[in-house]
Amino acid sequence: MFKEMILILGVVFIAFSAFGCAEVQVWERGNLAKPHMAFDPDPLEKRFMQHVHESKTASSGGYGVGGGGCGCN
Amino acid sequence: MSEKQKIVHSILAAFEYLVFVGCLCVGVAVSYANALEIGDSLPALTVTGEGGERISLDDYSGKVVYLDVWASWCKTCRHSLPWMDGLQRRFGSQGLQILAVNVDEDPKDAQKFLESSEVKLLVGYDPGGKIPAALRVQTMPTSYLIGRDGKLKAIHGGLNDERMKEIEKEIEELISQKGEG
Repeated sequence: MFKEMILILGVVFIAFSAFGCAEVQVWERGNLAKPHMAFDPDPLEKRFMQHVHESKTASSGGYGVGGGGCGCN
Repeated sequence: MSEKQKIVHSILAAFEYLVFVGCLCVGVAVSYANALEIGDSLPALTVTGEGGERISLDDYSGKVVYLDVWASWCKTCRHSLPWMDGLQRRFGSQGLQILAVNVDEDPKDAQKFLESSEVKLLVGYDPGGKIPAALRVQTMPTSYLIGRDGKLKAIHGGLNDERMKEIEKEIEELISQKGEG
């Protein structure tokens, strides 16, 4: 009985914790749109690394998707 | 554990699951619901202008108003400003008023961008994001086309060449409806 109570409390806690997650609204994404927030802030260096990777592995394409987090794409 | 207890626990677990899923669905529905529909009157909106003056939508009643929510960090928004400037020059004398509501957290970012461009639009600043929150903006930029009667005629989320032509056509139509809305 005690174990089940703990389980139920755990589920309730997780459920309420999930509601605590705040959504970043589209107009609040100024910081996320900054270049240094990108996974690859330097596009030239990224392209160079991709070129090296493609040469070494004889593969190409499949890199990333469009959009930088501003919600405008 | 007795059979009765098992049934009670199963019912409790099912109830919790339903409450959880229900709350999630309500949350998603609320966050994606458009606050405004075509034909609605817009709520009283006020922003602060370049010189600290108060700009209200009511000041432009009787005009066709194109309200655009933009930010300097949004590339599409940056591209849209010169186009809107052209619209204001073209249709301004016929009763079009473009109000570009900037939602940068720091208005200086927008002012810096505006200084570097030759855009001469009516810009209002809303760093707290009260207007996009009230209008439930879901895309940057989002624009609202308001007729002479103060009623919402169109909402446009995002912008591209095709959409620009569509908006221009809508503006032309609204302007031609003198006094009728």
